[in-house]
Amino acid sequence: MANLASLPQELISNILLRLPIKSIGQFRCVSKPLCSLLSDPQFIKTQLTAPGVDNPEKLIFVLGSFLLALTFTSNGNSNNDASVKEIIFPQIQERWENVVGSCNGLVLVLNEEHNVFLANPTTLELLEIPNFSLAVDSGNSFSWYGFGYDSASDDYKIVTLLNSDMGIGDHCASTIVDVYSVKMRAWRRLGNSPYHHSLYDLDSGVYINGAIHWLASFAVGNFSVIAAFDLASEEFKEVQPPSALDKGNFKCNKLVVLKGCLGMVVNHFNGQTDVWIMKEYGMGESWTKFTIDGLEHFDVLKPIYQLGNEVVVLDKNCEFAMYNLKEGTLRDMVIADNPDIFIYSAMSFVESLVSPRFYNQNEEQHIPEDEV
Amino acid sequence: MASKGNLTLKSCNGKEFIVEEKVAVMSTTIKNMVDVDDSFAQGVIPIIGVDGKILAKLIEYCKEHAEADEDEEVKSEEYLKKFDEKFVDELNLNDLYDLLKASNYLEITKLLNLLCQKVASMIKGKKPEEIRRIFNIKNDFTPEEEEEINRQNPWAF
Repeated sequence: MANLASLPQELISNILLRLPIKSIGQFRCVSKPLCSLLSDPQFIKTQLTAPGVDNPEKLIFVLGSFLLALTFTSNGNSNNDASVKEIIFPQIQERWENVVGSCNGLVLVLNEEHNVFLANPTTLELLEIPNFSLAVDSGNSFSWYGFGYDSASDDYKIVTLLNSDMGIGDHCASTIVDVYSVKMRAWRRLGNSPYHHSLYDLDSGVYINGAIHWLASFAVGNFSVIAAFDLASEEFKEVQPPSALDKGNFKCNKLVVLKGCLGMVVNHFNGQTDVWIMKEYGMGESWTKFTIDGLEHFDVLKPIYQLGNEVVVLDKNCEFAMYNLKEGTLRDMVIADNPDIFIYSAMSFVESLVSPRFYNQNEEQHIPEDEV
Repeated sequence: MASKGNLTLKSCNGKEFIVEEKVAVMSTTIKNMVDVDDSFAQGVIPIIGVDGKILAKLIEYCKEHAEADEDEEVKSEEYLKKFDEKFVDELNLNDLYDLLKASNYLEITKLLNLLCQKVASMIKGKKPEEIRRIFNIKNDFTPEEEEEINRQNPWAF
């Protein structure tokens, strides 16, 4: 009788990498050797990018104080576009407030006390991130979050822009940059951001191409910029915005990621919303736009995710909507058994096995918090 | 001895197959042997650990794909897809295993991917006890360990 265990290890991996995430989870319960292979960080990392592996993307959002996951309906016969399900972590009950980052199947979420948690909504693992002793919440401060993967150090990093000086106009004159390394389990203070960060845009940073992006402006001259915090060098650089936009003033826009491209959303509040897409990252001339029109004047749109080649899923006045790029039509999303869902901080995430505690015990290093 | 443009492959149980070189070199391992040492191209290439039955199957697969690579008109993508489906569907579990190991050793990447995909689709969605039965895997968890591992992975069930 054939024995799976008699195959060379690389063949077993090659086969199991092709399984859906849930099957891999079940296979961990088959035997000890399979369990250790399927829990191995290297296997989990390869699984993320293995050719032929198509991990489905879902959306995560906050409804009231609950975290929900939205799964798109793949069956064409269904009358529903999607279904939603509450994400319940075992043995923990939190009241959730905000989803502030998503990368490789991990999401960064805040509870109502503004404690930070790193979670995998697929495997339901949850890790509370300790507060930074230097980042005292005075009640008068505001933090922007960003979360992403740094391939240079094979580490996930949380970046916060902390502003504790809300008094100066609509901008934050001094914003402090703190970075948390998931691998080292430690916060570090990098110092002041070279930019003014706009209080118009309270959204989290947008992760793409190894950097976290925020809309900000120069300290001098007040010109708007796309500020990109590179997770490897831990320095800011700038990404060229669409040349057609008025340089002095796009701080009220929104940054998004669609189909792996950086995008900028301009709500005109005149019935039209422009969505600019940077087809090739870093190439200023590769910005192209599409316009969604026929809107009410007060409508606020924010693209969340591109589903296939034709449909862009939007947050429209805090409800899900679907815009068809080919036909230029906009309609509400039909969600099974849930006619009206008031969504907050929706983001897409991919199903993965990446664990918030993904580093082995022996790889773990504890370094003391220090000021840089 | 094989005529020019042909190679002779010999299975571990002594069966010889004369195949066109373009068919044989779909195997990266054979290609490297022929490239490095000209005597292989003249003489007999021993295929270690692969018996005549499995070698015949490998050659059947490589023949179809080598011809398709040469002339897309004759064998369309759709034709190959159907051929691949039929090819893997007709295999029993033991042959599937032997072919997997042989295509891994001979580095026939296309076939290897096809076979891995086949095994993956066979085991997808199966319960742990079914997997143990099909693949003859011993449950080496103690009852306490099994309880713990099930507790860690409830999301998968």
